[in-house]
Amino acid sequence: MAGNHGNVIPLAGLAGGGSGKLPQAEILRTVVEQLDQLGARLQQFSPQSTWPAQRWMIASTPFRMRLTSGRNRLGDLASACATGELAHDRWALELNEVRREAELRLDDIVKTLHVLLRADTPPIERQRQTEVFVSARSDLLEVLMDIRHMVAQRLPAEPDSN
Amino acid sequence: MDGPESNGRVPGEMLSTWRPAGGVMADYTDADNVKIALLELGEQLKALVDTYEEKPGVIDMHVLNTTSQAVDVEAMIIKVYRVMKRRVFTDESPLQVDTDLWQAFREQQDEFLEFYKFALNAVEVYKEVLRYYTLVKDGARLYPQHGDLEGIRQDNRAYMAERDDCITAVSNFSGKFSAMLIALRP
Repeated sequence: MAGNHGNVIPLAGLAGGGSGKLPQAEILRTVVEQLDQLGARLQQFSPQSTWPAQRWMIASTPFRMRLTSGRNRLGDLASACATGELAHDRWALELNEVRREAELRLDDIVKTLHVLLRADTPPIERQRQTEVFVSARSDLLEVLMDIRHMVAQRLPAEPDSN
Repeated sequence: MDGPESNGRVPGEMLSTWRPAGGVMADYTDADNVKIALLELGEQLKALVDTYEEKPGVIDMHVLNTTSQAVDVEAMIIKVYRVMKRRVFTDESPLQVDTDLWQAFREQQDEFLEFYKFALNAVEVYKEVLRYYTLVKDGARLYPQHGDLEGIRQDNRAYMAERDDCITAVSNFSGKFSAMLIALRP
């Protein structure tokens, strides 16, 4: 996916909007920006298998507070990939696949967190789930990076603010 | 309240160009005032916790509020709770101008309340322990008897264990609150 970098074909459908909606380029920029923030929150803590539930609650708060908006942005991405000229575009189909992958990885993390945030999770299970979390986090960050690269391939350069 | 209005800013004055992400165009004045108030409270609470972690005995003054200058830790915790309840979690919250942000705060409400109750209970329990410990210590000082030392040692351990629990609970509350405030930063 990221290997297509030299093959930049700006999307015709990304330049303008219509009917009062945000242009698709704007949607994609917002998606990337907010997914970046989600990834950053996820990277900002280094979980330990010895952490009690309260510690997990505190450490994962910034990430969990980005979760709903992150999911919404993935939803926006799904809509953007399925509308107008993008609906039959190969790039959009591939992007939609990666987006689906991101949703699955997010689900993995949420499931793991659900166990880790419970005070009655036994220490052995806590240790196992911490390992699962670290692995799922790494997978999600990779997929988010793929989304970023794929979007960057086709987005027109941002206009100079001056 | 010692919020932004007392910070040299004219009430209603628009803040700089900073705008929360994902929001709709609206009057940001109220929302920004709430954000500033929250960040200030977060800093005050964190400063208290830093002090307790550096010198745990300081919390005794703050719990019993023995001097007029002392910070009442219980009042501080309740103040944070009230601002959250009245300005953030409510349906009339000014933070609603940013739907994503407001929803993110609302999703944390139950957990925040858990930390709040835990901290408040810990302070109340410690306050009782501290009063009792002070009475016992003063009694032993007035009428010392042979064999008191072991009792004092045990009382001292119980008192310090309760103090540690109290500081941990306040620290966790502060940690949870600060973690939520990260959402206010771009």
